[in-house]
Amino acid sequence: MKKINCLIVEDDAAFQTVAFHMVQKADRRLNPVGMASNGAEAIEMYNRYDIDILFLDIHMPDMSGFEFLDEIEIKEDMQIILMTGDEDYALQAFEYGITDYLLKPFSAIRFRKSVSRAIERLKSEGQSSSTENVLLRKALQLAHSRNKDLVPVPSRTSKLGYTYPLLTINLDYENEFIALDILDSAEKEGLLTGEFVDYIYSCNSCYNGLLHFREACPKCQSSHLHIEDLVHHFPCAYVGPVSDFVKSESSDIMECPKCKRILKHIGVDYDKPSVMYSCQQCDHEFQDPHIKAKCHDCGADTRVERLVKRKVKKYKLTKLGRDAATGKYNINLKGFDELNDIINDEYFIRLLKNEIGRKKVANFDSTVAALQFSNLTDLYQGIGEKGQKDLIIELFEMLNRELHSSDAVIFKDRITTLFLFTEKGVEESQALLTKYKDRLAELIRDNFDDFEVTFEEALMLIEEQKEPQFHLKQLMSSFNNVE
Amino acid sequence: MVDFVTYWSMEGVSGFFRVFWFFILFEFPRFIVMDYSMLLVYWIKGKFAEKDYQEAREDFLSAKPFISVIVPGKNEGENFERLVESLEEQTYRNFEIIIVDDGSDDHSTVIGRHLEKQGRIDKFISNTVRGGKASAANTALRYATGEFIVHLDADSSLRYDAIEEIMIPFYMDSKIGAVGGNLEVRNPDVNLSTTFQQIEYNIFIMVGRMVTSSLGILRIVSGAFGAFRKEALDKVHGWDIGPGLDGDITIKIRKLGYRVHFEPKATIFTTVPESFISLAKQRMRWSRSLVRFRLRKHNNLFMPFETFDLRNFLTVAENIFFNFILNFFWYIYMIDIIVNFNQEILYVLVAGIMLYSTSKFLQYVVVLILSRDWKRKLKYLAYLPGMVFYTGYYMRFIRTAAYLKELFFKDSFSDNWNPLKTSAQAKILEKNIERVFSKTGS
Ligand SMILES: [Zn+2]
Ligand SMILES: [Zn+2]
Ligand SMILES: [Zn+2]
Repeated sequence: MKKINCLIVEDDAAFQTVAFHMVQKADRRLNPVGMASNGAEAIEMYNRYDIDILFLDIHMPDMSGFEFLDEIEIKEDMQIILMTGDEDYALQAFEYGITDYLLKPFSAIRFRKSVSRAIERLKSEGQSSSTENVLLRKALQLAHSRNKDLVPVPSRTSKLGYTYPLLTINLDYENEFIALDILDSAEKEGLLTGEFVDYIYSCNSCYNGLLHFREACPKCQSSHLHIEDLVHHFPCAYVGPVSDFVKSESSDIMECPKCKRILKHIGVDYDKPSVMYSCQQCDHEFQDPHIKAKCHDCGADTRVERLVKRKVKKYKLTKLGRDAATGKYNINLKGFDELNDIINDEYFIRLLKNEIGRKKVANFDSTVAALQFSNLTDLYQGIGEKGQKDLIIELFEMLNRELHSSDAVIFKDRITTLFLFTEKGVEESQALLTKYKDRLAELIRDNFDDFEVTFEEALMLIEEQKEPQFHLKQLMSSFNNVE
Repeated sequence: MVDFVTYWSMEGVSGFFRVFWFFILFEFPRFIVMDYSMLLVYWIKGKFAEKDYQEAREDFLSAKPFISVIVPGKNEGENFERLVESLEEQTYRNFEIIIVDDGSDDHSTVIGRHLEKQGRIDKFISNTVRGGKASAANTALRYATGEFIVHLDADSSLRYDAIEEIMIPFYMDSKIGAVGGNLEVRNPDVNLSTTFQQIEYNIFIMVGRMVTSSLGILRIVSGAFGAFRKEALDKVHGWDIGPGLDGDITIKIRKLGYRVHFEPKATIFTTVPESFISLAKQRMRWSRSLVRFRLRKHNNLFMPFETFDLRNFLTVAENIFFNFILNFFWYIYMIDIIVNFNQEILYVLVAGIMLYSTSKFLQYVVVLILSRDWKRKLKYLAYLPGMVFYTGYYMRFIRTAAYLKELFFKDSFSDNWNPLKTSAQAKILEKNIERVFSKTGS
């Protein structure tokens, strides 16, 4: 699901919170990346993020909303929703080409309508010049002008083992895997229709698709294994590895060690019901080896269960795809590098700052908490970059489903999550945190062979006379591995 | 009623002997006299042996031998959890668990592999082609590393001290090569058939095997729960094919000069068939093996040449005489009664029920004396008259049918194998990769 970045510019702290919650509830795709309470802050945030929808108040202490719009370079497809208590600016707003104009106080329904209109327009105006869009546009143009499909061609020299000449040509070796991501999203956008050709398994840290497969000992991971058929001699029911039956190295004659008869024909007086592995490293005997894939590009040696499995398809342009090729439709693929919105402690600091501001004017307790997955790095080692990303996204989405709507969660880094529990004491927050921990542990257990994740945690009440940074430092200092 | 009393008082003792000669000649000495003699021997032995037992127990615990628990079976996956759990709760812990799956066509392999991954069993060996119970047990034996082997059926669960108790006899007598454990019914109170089976197990397995064991003629170490010296199993090269392999391997071990012992304290619980029809099918299977292995395979036990041993001879002879020959002889007895006591058949029948009930009662008293949980078993006294019909007719008919079938149709030989396509080694890896991927595939 693509995220739509929102910025809320509003100087009234109480209304800022209301707007924030409304944004969160209005549509799951909305991603409030920041809240600013004055023009200067707003400009800074606007320049830092790729904002899709801007919620803007007209009255701010240092400048007006219109002055703010003059200051910034307005992105072509950005949607602006004005929020004001004053009707008089409607005409001016129209001149600035804003999407909607909300007169305070407004209802949640009115707000939601406004947001969905903005999202609609965002889609239709969508235009981005990011690399993947440019690459796709070029590929579509080539395919259209030559009247060709985007067909995967097997190749030894390509990183994935397959190449799409029209698209891959513009990617260097290390980045070839992006082609699959681009084509995937293009299909979802309705620009292409794909038809299954093959599956590929690629290295989970570098996406190399040409891997070296072999079996390994489940005890010591060594691939130095000896494999033997088991032989079952029917007349006497003896079962043992082939070597038990070999009489001498020089002859092929097999003699049963139990009844001393010579084995005649497979299927007649004996069969081979299974195979047995013995590890030459640790002597472990087993039937169920790990299958490991070694990547000669980056050296990673992973269990095949952890490889990245992807479909390789043959693509045809749709009507929309041909329109995009001829410039009638603007391509705007989304969903690249989703972690930017998830690992973002600056966002958390802004939330915290906002909460501290609220606490200065009203009397209530709020709690911040940090939760560290102490042994998650053990798991990360085995699952590679792609696996890590998917796991973090999944954990984040799960937490967001569980979370009360007034609370917030964000990752500080790949092993630390930050929580804001608004208007809740430590005890109540602790109870919630314990519940979330159980759910997180369960999710990891279910997906990674009963991997038992362990946690460290820290909670504290928000102190209104302290800076947000202070809270964060305080929380992190309680973990052993503080820098 | 009056007629009944008058009839029997007129007939007197000699008349009673004439009518019930079968009981007095064969069944009374074999069951009642023997049971009570054994009880007496056991009691006297116990007086002196208690010290030996404690000493043996200490020797065993300080030697701490490594044991391989082997469990061959087919489509037993659903029982693994309960079995493994009962093994995890044992007082003695120095053992490995090897489960061999013999060509299951259900989820057994998945369950077994999972337990192996969790480290709760040490080896899970899956033979993709069914090879029969003997080959499965031999596969486990080939990969077992213990000094002793404990053979279990997957559908059983062990009492918490079962492994310890079954091992102690080895340390009481170094000539003992195999020890059989006691089987109790896990589901005795489900219905009439399981209650009868509970009583039957107690009378024939617990008491019966104690009798033969103390006479030195125990003929079977139950595959459901039996312990062996690994060296003894290695010498006989493990189990041979076919039904009745438990009795078969016991005889082979005895032929090597080992003693075989029954240990009533070593207890496992097994689930018995819950209807008379499925029970009949199970017993047909069991009975057929008698003919095959006692008569066909070990006939050299009757030959007074080479390695004749009186006890081994008696072991087999006792079994064949009481189970096989008497089984048919009984029909002659029946004809005698029907022909010669045609008029008085009702009196004979009623007296017979009374006589056999008393006999069952006397046998069950021995069960109660020998049971550690005798209080629980008191309530089954009420079922003893019913046992007269259960063992006297139901079981006898099943046995007869099985013997006839085996003798004339060689039924148990119709056990065939599916020939296996040649498995090229190179294909194994491919297959493995495919398997792992299909597990994770989306
Ligand atoms: Zn190894
Ligand atoms: Zn053989
Ligand atoms: Zn790699």
